[in-house]
Amino acid sequence: MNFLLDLSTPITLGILLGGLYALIALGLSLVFGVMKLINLAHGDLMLLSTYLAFTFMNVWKLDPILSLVIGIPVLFVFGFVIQKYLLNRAFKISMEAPLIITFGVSIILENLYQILWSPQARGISTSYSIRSFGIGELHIPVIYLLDFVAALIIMFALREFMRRTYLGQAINAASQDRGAAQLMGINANRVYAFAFAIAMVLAAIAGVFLGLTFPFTPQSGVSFLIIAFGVVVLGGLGSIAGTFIGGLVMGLAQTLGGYFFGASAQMFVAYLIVFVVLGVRPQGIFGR
Amino acid sequence: MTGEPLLKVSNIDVFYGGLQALWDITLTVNPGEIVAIIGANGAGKSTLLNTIAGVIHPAKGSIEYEGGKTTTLEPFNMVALGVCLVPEAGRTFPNMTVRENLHIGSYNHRARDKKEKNLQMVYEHLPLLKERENQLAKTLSGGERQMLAVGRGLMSDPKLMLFDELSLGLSPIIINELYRVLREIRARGINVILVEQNVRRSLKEADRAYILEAGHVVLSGKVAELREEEKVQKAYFGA
Amino acid sequence: MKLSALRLKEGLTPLIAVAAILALFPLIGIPQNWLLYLFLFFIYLALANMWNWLAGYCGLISLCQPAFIGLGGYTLAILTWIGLPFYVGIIVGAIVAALFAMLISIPVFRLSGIYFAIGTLIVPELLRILFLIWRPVGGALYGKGAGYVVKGATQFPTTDIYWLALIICLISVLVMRFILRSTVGLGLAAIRDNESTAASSGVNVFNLKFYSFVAAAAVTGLAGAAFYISQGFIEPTSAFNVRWTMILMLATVIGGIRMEEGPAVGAVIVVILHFLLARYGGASLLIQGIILVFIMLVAPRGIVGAVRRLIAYRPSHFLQRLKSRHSR
Repeated sequence: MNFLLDLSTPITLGILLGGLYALIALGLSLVFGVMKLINLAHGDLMLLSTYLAFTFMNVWKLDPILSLVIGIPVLFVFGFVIQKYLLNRAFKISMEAPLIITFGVSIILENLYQILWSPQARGISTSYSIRSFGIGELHIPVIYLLDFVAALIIMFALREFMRRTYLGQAINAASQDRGAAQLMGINANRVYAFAFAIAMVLAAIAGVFLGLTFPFTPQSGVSFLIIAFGVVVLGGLGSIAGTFIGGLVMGLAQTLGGYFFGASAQMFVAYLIVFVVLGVRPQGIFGR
Repeated sequence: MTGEPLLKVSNIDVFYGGLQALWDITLTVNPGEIVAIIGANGAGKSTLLNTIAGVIHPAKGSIEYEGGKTTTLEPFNMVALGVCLVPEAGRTFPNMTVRENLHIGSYNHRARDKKEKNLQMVYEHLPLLKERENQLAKTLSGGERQMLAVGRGLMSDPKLMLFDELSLGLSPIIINELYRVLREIRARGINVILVEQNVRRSLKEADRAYILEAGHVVLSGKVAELREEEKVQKAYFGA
Repeated sequence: MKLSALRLKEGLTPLIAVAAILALFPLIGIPQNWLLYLFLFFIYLALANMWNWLAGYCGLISLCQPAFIGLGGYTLAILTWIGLPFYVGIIVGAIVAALFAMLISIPVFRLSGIYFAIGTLIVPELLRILFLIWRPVGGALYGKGAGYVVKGATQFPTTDIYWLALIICLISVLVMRFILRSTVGLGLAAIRDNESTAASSGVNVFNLKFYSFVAAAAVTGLAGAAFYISQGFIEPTSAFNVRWTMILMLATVIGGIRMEEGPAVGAVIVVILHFLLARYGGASLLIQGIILVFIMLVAPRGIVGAVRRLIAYRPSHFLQRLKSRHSR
């Protein structure tokens, strides 16, 4: 009985964290699933949002979530430039070009962050991000709860958008069969651009919440990418519910891994699960 | 009904995949007509339909629809004008339900206001679709998917429908059903261009026909007259 | 697997000549820092050749080469702590790298494209964390993580390290030559062109990829072990660092992916860059990244590719070919 009680903290935290992880995977799911874009720098783009929010907080005392007003457009511009001027050309060059080029971009961004913000670990702290509250034996940081609630709201909004609006359905259709979607009267290019914009918004938001929740370094982009990818692979492309469950699994993997094997092993367990799932069932548990 | 043709394709050359597929094609569709395009595999029938729909653009020549030039328009423009292509094998969206497929068919702005009305109309013509409303398209049989494709095309509120190999690979029962719907579509005043390998069937429904061979129109005219032509008799009716 | 003896012998003499000359360098008083540049060149070339094999010829854009480098280095270091001689350590390092490659090939080969890239990206990260936590043999150099001294490395003569690297580099060059000029190379070209067609023509796709991956890992492990002898110590964050991937990718891309001579040309440039940029610290990788992206966009076939194209279009060359055709 004691054992179960002890587990209740990592389990609760893991579930809450899972919401955040689902959130970071949503952007990747759109970019990769709908637009079939291969962007190894996606995690580093999220990190850009994190560093921007950090700067706004430290220099202008602007609340990071409010700073998204600037963060989102910045991310959109960066992502757009990468997509239009680098990736579009890369596809035509060779099969390996998109991977190599986005790898290069990832390295560029990482080192840019290192120059601008130093290799030191940073965190975004606000009045609410450092508090925690207690329920019985559990101590839960407020930010974890915020992450989870934000994730739920956004996932719900996204799902309704995809299901109930013409544009959402158009994105869905274009990702299944671009040519047939055109025949429905859908302007595929415009729809893709819109999907991309949404993906960047999601990535920006995810970046801010990540910065509020964990300390980050210029190299954090890689771990964001791996986790986001892991969630996508676990939950399957194209399923928001799947993404949510994938997020939960990753969150629990990390917290339980840390509980059983020590704090330094948390990411190890998480990465290992991603690797194993990739090897066993790359299309995900809910995938098509 | 005026004397002006609804669709006028004039002397188009079309290239596909780097090779020339169509040479100097001229074709008209008059209001109220069903026009059939027949020919062997690889003759260019699909390419012609795709060009009319805006998926491919001709290298030479022009296409006019309702008096306006549409040669360089994109498919989504053509749909907005009322030209709807039902592609080969239907190409329904596999991970959307029947209802969602029909819903997305009314994407263009003209059709959006009429969505509910058109949906009821589609269900009248194709009651099977109502039965399978909530089924994912990928779980349907080939014939059912083709019906869904037709229904989906109707949702776009078209004036001219293009059917690419409507009956390909389907059973005679389904084919009968589809042709019944075709006649009902025509009765609603929607124009049709029919591309078929099933020559007998398509000539039965059509008013006029064009015979394509290796990218050229070799024969055209009213179906009744074509049937008399010796060449046609030999090639397609084994007389 | 057939070898065309004639094709293998092509150009072998100049290669042996160059190798012999390079081998003599330490004995004829070439300055130490030049030997260091050449040492790095040998190591980088070996790594780049292997990556060219995987990415250029097998379609495996492997981002997990640092795993093999680090494993080679760690095996060597650990074996020196157990008291085994260097040469044992190096060879076992290669074997460990190869075994590890066999292990991860099972999950990883089911993937393609970005899935493969991410899968291979995770592997060095896993090892990095693992070696930060795990200390296989006693003692540590630094407080954080399993940093190890390579015991006895300081006594290892510089000329010996130089020759070791030269030999490993030669091995990589010969392996590439062997692959490209035998039916293995044909099979690989077929796979790259169209995997399913190749499979239906009887090419055993999985086997070819598997053997390539494992063999490349072995040679990469060799190079890693040799590098860490010269370094004298090893620790996880730099051993399994993406910096390695950047080096071998850049060398291959600058020189010319899918060209036999590409990595050699590229490795020269990367060594030069390495020293030009050394003083700039963090900006060094930044600049390398920019160069990588730039070259991929502007000259995707690299220097060797560009040169080959120029040669093909030279008018005098064209006339000469016409003449020789007429004279038959």
